[in-house]
Amino acid sequence: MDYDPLAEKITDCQKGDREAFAWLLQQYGARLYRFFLRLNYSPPDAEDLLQDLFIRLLEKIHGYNHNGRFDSWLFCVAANLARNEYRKRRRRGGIVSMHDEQTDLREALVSAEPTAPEKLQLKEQIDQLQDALEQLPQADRELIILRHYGKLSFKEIAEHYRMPIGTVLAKVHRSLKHIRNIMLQNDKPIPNLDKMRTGLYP
Amino acid sequence: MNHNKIELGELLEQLDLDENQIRQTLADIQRGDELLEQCDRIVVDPALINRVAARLRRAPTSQSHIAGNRWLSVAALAASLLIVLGVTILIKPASPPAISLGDESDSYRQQAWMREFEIKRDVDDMILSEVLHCWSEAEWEVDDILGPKNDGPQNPLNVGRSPWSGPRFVE
Repeated sequence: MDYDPLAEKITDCQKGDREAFAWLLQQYGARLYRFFLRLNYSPPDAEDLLQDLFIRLLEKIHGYNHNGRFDSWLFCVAANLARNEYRKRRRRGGIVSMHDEQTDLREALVSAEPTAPEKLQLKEQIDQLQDALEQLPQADRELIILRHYGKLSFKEIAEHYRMPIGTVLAKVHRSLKHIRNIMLQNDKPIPNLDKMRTGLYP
Repeated sequence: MNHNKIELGELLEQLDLDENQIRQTLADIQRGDELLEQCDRIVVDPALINRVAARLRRAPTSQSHIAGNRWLSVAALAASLLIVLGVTILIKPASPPAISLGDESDSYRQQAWMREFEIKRDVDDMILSEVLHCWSEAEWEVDDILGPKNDGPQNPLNVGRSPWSGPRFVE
């Protein structure tokens, strides 16, 4: 039987081992943080949500039965948390989108040492993607982001949202096409980003 | 993201589309995925993760959280029982207290209270029996409840006697 460090850590987490939780955080924290950022939360809010998520995991992980799809499960919990937060904000202050707070992300990105032209171009690209994502309805954006960061299959997304798989496919297709169209409108070549890195917090 | 190939079979089974249509859709999706992948290069400062990890270590354990919840539940249950007990005592029908033979004035007050209690009980019984009597006196007919029949003669007097006659057309 293959050694599965994730399964071992999950078992440790279920026993209440904090170090195992910290390990999970190291493994998934950055991806989850980006997930929250892309859902339009400001950097401080995304950090708070990340913390809330792991505190929630302290309780929820006991109910998790490891079947090799921990990512999907974790990101579904994260999506539920983000959705609850979104609803809470909408009820509280009628804020439907966090666009005003999104400027925090923009500022953070722009302030990340825009010396090299490639870096600047990358920031424009990130900005452009954020713009394109913001144009999607919240539910569709969540679906795209959940698929992208959580690596969920269409079937898993369909199960999570209790939607027919055809609907999920159509929504993902339409939304991604929309994003591509917006991003390709500028007709700029997409740079080879693999060599480029930017720091949200340099 | 390479879900597409794996999922093609599943999607073909479930969707009413031919293979080419699904391949085309999935290819579109893959292009979108690649674009997202290329544009998503936000690097997260490790200090942020460390900060959250430190807060997580300080957070109460799930066991203590559960234990805390259990104590809260027990406290809530105890409070509920006390409230129920209080309400039960409050609404319990009054019964005459035991008569103490030691003091004459006390005894007098007890007797007066018992008399008052008996009168009240008699009055309640009378009201109840009156209501039951009136009820049995009423000449209930199906017609009184469902309305007049269309065929056959109507008897407005009978209708008028019933307290539940409701709106009627009097011929």
